[in-house]
Amino acid sequence: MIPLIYFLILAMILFGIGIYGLSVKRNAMRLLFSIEMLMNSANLNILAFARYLFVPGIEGQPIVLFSITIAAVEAAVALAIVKVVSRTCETIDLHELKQLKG
Amino acid sequence: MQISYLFTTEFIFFVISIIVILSAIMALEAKEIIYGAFSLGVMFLGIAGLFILLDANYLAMFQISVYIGAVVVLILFTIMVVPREIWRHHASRIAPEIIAGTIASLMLIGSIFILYLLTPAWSIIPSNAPFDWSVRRIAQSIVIEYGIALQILALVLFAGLLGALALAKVEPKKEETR
Repeated sequence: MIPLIYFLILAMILFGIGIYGLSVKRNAMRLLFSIEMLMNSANLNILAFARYLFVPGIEGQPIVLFSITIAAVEAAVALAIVKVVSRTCETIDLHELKQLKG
Repeated sequence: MQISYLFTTEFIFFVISIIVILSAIMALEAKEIIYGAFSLGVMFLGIAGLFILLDANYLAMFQISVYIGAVVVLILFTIMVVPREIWRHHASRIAPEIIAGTIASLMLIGSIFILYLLTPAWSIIPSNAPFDWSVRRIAQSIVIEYGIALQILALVLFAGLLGALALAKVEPKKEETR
């Protein structure tokens, strides 16, 4: 059987990739990709801990379900913001967006 | 390599995890953003496979239908709507930023890994005790134990989607509305 640490290390690597994208990339869409990676690694971590409890149960699964829903809402709002910003400011480079008022 | 090793759970886990990590890197580093979007979809599929390995079949189905059916499709729509020259504007990147970001994420990974070295998680394997992971049990748990959270979540979903719609609404320009 797979030890718990395999899942933890995979979630850790995914989290590191997401942090790398958040700190390096300048495109707003790539930042959205990075945030999705962070949420996925958190979900994987929660689910692994819930499965490897001493008495296994489904206690982790509703929480991951809620987390996925929140991630979907966040993606929808972020994509709407990307669309509005690309129309009003003519760019989505985060280093060039200097004003909040469109 | 023996042929019987090919289909053990560890082998499947390693294959899926390599796919997940490579497609996550590809999603960030692909030159065209549409390839990045498809790589992100592959990463979501891999995460769903890991959910199946963790005995969460319903969540794997939910992950596929929400992430690949909604999020990736929304990303593709956004890439399609936004003009093409906007995406091409970010080709030049500064090398010190990349080095600093890599060092920061490696330091984060290293510190978490040192924490993991101190834990007994290396020898924990799943117990074979049977448990009920059917959809009926999950539905009972959501509705009975987390009923309030479910209703608040529905409100959050509604408000978020309404806000996204109100943001993305195209306002007619004043010259056109004569």
